Amino acid sequence: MTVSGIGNREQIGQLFKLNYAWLCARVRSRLGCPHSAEDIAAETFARVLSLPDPSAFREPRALLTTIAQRVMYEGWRRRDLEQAYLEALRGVPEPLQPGPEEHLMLIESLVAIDQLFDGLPNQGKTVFLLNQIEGLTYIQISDRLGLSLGAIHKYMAQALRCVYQVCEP
Amino acid sequence: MTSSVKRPLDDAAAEAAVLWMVRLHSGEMSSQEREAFEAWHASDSRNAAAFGRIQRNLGAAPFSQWRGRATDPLLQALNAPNGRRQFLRNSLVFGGLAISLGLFGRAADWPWLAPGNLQTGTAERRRWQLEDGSLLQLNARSRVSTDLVDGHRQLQLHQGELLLEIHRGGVRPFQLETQQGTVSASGGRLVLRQGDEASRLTTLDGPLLLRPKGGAEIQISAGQSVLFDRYAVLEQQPMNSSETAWLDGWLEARKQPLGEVVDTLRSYRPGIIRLDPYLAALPVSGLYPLDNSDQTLEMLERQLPIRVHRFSAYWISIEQA
Repeated sequence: MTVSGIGNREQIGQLFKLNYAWLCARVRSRLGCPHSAEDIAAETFARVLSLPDPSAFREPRALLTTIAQRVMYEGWRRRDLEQAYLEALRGVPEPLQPGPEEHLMLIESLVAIDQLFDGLPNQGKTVFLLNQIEGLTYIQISDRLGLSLGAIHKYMAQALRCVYQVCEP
Repeated sequence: MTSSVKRPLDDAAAEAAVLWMVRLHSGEMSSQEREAFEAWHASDSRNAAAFGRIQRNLGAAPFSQWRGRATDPLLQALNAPNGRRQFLRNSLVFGGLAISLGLFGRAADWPWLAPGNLQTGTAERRRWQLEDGSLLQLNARSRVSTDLVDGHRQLQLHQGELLLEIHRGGVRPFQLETQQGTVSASGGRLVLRQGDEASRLTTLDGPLLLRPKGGAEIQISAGQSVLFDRYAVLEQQPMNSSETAWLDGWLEARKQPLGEVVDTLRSYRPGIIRLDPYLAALPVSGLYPLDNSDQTLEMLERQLPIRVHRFSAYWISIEQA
């Protein structure tokens, strides 16, 4: 949904003016790095803009803090994922490693998959992705991971519940 | 935030759609199950809507970038510990990094492929060089286990189809086992397929020996296509090029029953392809791309008196036109 009405837009401008510097300072004190603090503050405001009615919040600084925190956590998780991916790639022969552009695309999708399966056990992610990406049948997955077919059905159902719950655009 | 994924969804149609989707992805679905699915899907518009929602979300999920790549790095990254909790606990700058680095070492010992177990997934063909120098190629949804230790040269085909180019010069002949019998050869190439109740052997070179489990050993010369069960050879004829076309990514049919053609296609796409039983015997001739099953279905539709109904990417029904 988009912000509607000029009044709303003015209020957002006001929100930005009054709180941007404050938010940057607050994030910086938490993070210690001025550049990423500004990035995080900018991303936070972008998300506030996409809320149905941002001006309705009576405690804008509480809202900003909550969203900024989420942005920071996501950035943190992203870094973890990228580091872990690079580490895992060390075992892969060089000609098979993705180029820089591909790398960026893969990290984006890695982050998206990670968010999609938030709350799913690691085994569940592994089972689902072996099925979806490698196309392995359940019998093949059970051979590979040493899991029972019952466990594979259970994990597939958990993963597909995550997929069902994604909000449709 | 999502509710716990371990509990069934509150919406009964959504939960049923999830469970059907689980079965559709199993890679092994019986015709009874297929019919039960169709009945469920058609019985209530809420069922179809819930199923459609999962299907659209799956289609939009960013998995396709990873197809054809090694999945281990992806899985290792996803299963990496979440630094978020560390971040919450203390606000030390980058404190979580060292902790997650410490855990990377563990990523290496995943319980991956057991040695000697080789397999392919849906729509995947792969080649391997075996320890004895022989070359193995597997068609989609195939699985073998090998024993190549101490001069043994043994391979068991559990599922699907293989081409083996046997390295000459081994101390013992290479032995390939299916559920119905054993093939042994000291060199040359052969294609072997495990069917439902019989195996098919195609000899590109020869001669070699075939022994059905409950029958006598017979010699098969080069260029033959042999169908055998546990007791005897059921059918033998000169091989034709269609039997090795899959190696180049083609499905070549020469008056082959539509039922067999559809069976091959099933290994090349997830979900179900339902075929009207009255159509199973319809003879098919032509050259079809295995890696583009949508195109193959379109070609068949133009060529034969059939209608291909696409209820979804996971559910295709072939009916009489």
